[in-house]
Amino acid sequence: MKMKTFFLKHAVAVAAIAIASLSLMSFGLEKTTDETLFFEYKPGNIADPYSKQNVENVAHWEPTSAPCPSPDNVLACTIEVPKANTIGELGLELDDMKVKLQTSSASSTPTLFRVDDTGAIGYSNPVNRATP
Amino acid sequence: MDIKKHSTTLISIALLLLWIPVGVDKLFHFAVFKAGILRQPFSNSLGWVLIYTLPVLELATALCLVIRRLRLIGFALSSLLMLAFTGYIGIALLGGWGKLPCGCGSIISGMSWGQHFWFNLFFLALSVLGYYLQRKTHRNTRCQAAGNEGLVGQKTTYKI
Repeated sequence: MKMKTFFLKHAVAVAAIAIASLSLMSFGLEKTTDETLFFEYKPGNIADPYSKQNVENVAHWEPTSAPCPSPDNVLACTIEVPKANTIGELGLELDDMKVKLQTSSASSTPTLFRVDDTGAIGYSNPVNRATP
Repeated sequence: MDIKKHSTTLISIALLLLWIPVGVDKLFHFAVFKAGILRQPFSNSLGWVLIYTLPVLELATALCLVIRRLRLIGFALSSLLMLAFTGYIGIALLGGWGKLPCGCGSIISGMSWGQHFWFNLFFLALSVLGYYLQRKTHRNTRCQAAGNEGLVGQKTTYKI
């Protein structure tokens, strides 16, 4: 009975200890090795966004939670990258020393470039999308 | 009175479920958090201030919510932080930052910005409600205490 009264009286403190312990345990046990991430091509408002030079520029790729949903083979969209191939292994920016993007143009639209699987360095599963 | 007291307890626990993991995550993944903040669309000098103040403020909010005497401050801090976060995401959703900033390094990174906005709005409402209820409890307690002091004073006067 005393125990019950104690827990009810200090419910917030007990909850705080439990939440803090669970948070510390889960973050402490987190695996960081061999994790892969998805990066999406987001050039922003630039001229000629799908040129070879722009698509191959690692600075135009940003982390995303999932690959492109409707694959086609015209415009660069997402790639899968091991976390180890990002700057500082933080998973935020592609490391241009480890990732070399390979591109090719869709035959009908020579100015629009897509990402290729062939000769890919530091990434896998490129997904290209249709023209909007 | 009891309902109010239990409500503030439940709201405090709900807010602790938010602030403790968020604060601990920032400390455990400090490098990721730091890089994420520096990629946001504001100046780096503001970024550096936020890098060191945000985790401290979040954990201080949690601590204030645990200590009964500081709970009112805890709710106030929680409301202010949530107001700032919600406003920031709201501006981002309205296109105020030009390009949507990356939400890297957050434990709720699986959410879209729209979901994140509603999530924040819910916790903002909870914080404000907690503040309101706690302030009422505070006032009642102070009134009671003042009343008791008055009675003691009367008795003393009577004796003299």
